This record gives sequence, structure tokens and C-alpha cells, in this order.
Amino acid sequence: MAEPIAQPVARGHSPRRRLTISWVRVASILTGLLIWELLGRAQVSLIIPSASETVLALAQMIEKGDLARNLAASLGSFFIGFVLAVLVGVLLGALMAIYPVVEYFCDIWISAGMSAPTLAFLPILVILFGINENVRIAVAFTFSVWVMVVNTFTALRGVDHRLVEMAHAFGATPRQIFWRILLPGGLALIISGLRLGAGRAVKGMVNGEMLITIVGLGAMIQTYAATYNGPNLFAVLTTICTLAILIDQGLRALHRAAAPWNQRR
Amino acid sequence: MQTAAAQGLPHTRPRRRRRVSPALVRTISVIAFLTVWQIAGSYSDGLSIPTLSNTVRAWWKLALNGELLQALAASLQATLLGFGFAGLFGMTAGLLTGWYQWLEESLDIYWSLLLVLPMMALAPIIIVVFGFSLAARVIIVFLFAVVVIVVNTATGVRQVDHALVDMARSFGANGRQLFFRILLPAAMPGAVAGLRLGLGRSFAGMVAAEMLVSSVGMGNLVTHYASRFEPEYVFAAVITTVAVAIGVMHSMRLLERRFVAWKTADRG
Repeated sequence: MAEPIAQPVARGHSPRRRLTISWVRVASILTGLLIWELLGRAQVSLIIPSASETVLALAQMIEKGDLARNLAASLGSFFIGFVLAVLVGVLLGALMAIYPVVEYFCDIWISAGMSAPTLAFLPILVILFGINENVRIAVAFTFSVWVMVVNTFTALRGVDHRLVEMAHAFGATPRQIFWRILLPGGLALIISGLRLGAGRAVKGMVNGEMLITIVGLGAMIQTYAATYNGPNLFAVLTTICTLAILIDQGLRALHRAAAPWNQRR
Repeated sequence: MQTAAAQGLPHTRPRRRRRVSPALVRTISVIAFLTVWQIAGSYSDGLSIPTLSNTVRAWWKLALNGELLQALAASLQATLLGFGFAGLFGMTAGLLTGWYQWLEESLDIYWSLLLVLPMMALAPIIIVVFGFSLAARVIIVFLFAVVVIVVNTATGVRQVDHALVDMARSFGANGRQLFFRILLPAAMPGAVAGLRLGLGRSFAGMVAAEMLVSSVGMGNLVTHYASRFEPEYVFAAVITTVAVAIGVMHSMRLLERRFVAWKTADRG
């Protein structure tokens, strides 16, 4: 069975990841921006714009409403696909944690799903769903569901057995044990899975769009790349990064709100 | 198993424990999946889902006429090269970043950024700069894999027990000994975990690269047969790619367990 991916180890974050404003960080960001600006000015390649050009292009795109339109399309598919993945993932993970039969039935497929390069499934998804809104939802779903299942499964299984035994001793029904002990105990890891799943869903959405449809952020990237439109291309990239960071921060806040006793992040 | 009721205790629900064989359930699962696939295939009107039998036949054809092997070789070439470079560069960068605090502080924003960005979005830029070449594909694979390797190696280094370092220093160890005898072994689990994750990402990068630079490799097979509306070949190619990736990942995991068996795989 695939190991769980808890945010700390898989991503290699150190235990204290609050982004402090330190001189080194500020200097690093400024240096980075400077290098970017110089690279762009030096015309290393038509496709690499300077930082200032990118900002201008971004402002223009926001004004014209191009960005908003495509962003809405992308976000729509991402959201539906992700929510589906969470529902299915948590449900399946819970069932697998409770019933060994379900676990044995599903674990090969889950392991495969985790190890496989999800992008490879894209052609199959296109064959199954055609080229429309549904396939984009399917892509977001396929990218994030595996992490949800694995993390939920590990979260629920990892709850301290002594707590469960204690509950038994006090005469708790299986239902009470699930809702009062297992779920709260595993909540932190489940939400961690949610964050990872969201990240994967965003990537899946963008990657999928680059190959499939004519609308959405991914499609914009393709168009601008094909027309050597460096500034606009980088503007879209910046938007995607910002989007991903916002989603992640949002989920972190959710984590803090939902499981405040678990102060890992 | 003797139930409580059988022991004569009233008002206790007999707990029946059925030991289900994992292997049996898994086998049934696979058979069920294959059956559903075959049925789904025969019910769809030929243009969409291919049947299991057709897919197997298509796979066999590809294997026999050498297309499969050729494509696989081309794909793996780019993947291994990209992963190799990512590993070397990544581990070096990771070791340095883990050791020098200022380096880590200044660079971690960039690693986070790269982790969050869908790497595929950078691919068109690479292609514009490097053309449709092996170099472009190798670079794309490299980009996919390097960040995870750096970050995990750095974590491994940072988690070295400082007491060990102090102890070695007090015994008069010089920089070199410190590095090879204390740092490196302690950082191994993190580094190897990073390599494993990086390998997975390398395959993702390979797939991404080939879907955009589809002149060679498995990606080419897929797009070629997709454009000819022959889904059984597409399925065969995709499943082969996925199977190879899973196989390699699995072996890597076994290797990892061998390598770091001496250190418990805890989060520390």
C-alpha cells in the first residue's frame, strides 16, 4: 500500500515554515527580480520578457477581461473536479480504513494511481469523455483523488489504538467511535491530503488544458507560446502561480481552523 | 473462534472474525476490473472504448513490429538523462542548501514557487529556446524532478543530529571527515526519498515533454494512433508507459528500503 504523503516529509518542508521577513529573503527576491529584468532586456530569447514587460502585460490582460474569462473557465473545472475527488477520496479512504476487504480490493489500484505519471492517462480520458468541459473535470479529479484516498486511509488507520480501545471499554458504538475518535484524530492528515490534492488538481487542470481545449489558462499558454508572445505568456504563468499559492494558503487557513490542536503548520 | 455467546455469557454480541485472504480479494479485484473493461468495450460503439481483447491484440502487434521497443527506448533515454542530471545537481544543491542557513533562506521561496508551478507550463518556453530536440526533453524532465530532490536532500541534511556534529568536532574531525562520516550518512534517507519522488516526477516530465514534443517516444505513439482514431493502440501504449513507470518506481522503493534499512523511516 502506498505510503501516505504528509505535507512535511514529501515536500521537504522544515518544521518552522512561517515566511519571516528577513534581510536575506528580501535581498533574494530583489536579486531574482533584477536578474529577470536583465535577462529580458538582454533579449536572450524572444520568449523571455523582462519583469516590467510582464507586469504591463498582466495589467493589460486584467483590463481587457481576457484573464477573468479564462480564469473562470479553468477554476470552474478545477473546483468541480477537486470537490468530487475529495468526496470520493475521503469516502473510499474511510471505507478502506474500516473494512479490510475494501482495502485489499482497492489497494493495488490506489498504489498504481499514486506511482503512475497521471498525465499519461490524459489520452485515455479524452477517449472516454471527448473534448469538452467533462474531460477537464475528469482531469482535475484524476490528478487529485489518489492523494485523498491514501491520506484519508492512513489518517484513520493511524489514530492511536488505545483511544479506540478506551472508547470500546466505555461502550461506544462503532458509529460513535468513527465520528468522535477516528475522524478528529485523522483530520489533520486528511486536510494535509486536501492541500496536496488541490495542488495536484491545479497542475492537472493546467496541464490538461494545454493539451486539450481551446479555453482556459492552459490554452492561453499554448497560444502565447505559439505566437512568441513572451510578456503575455509570463503574465499567465504569474497568474497560475498566484492562484496556486492562494489556494494553498486558503487550505492552510482551513487546516488551522479545523484542527487547531494539531499545530504542525 | 469461540464467541462470547458460546461461552455462555448472555447479552453479548458474538464477534465473528472472518480472516479474508488479501491475495484472493486482490485477484478478484483485478478480474472484476478486466471483466468490466471487456464488457464496457463491447457495448461502446467501436469508436470510443476498445475492448480488453482488442487492446491486448494491439499491444502484441506493437511489441512484435518493434515500434514499442523503439518508442520505449527513446522515452527512457530522455527520462534517465534528465533524472541523472536532476539527481546530481539536486543532491549537490540540496546538501549545500541544507548546510548553509543563509542559502536556504534565500532560495526557499524559489523552490516553493517551482513546486507550485505546473512545470508543463514552462515546457513551451523550453521548446521555443531549444527546439524539438532531445535536449529540450531532457531539460523538461530535469525541471520536473530537480526541485523535489533539492528540497528533500536539504531536509535530510537539516535533520542531522547536531549533537553528533558537535561530538565529531570535539574529537577533532576536520571538515572533510565531518562531511563524509556524519553528514552524508545522516542525510541519506532524505536524499534517497527525494530521489524516489524525483524519479516519479521524471516520468511525469517525460510524458509531458513527449506530448508536446511528440516526434519520438511513447508520446509519439500515443498521439500518432490517437490521430488515426485507433484507440486500442492508444490504450496499449498508455498502459505500457504507466506499467513501466510503476515498475521502476516499485523497484526504486525496494532499493530505498535496502539502502536505508539501518535507519528507521520515521519523520525524523
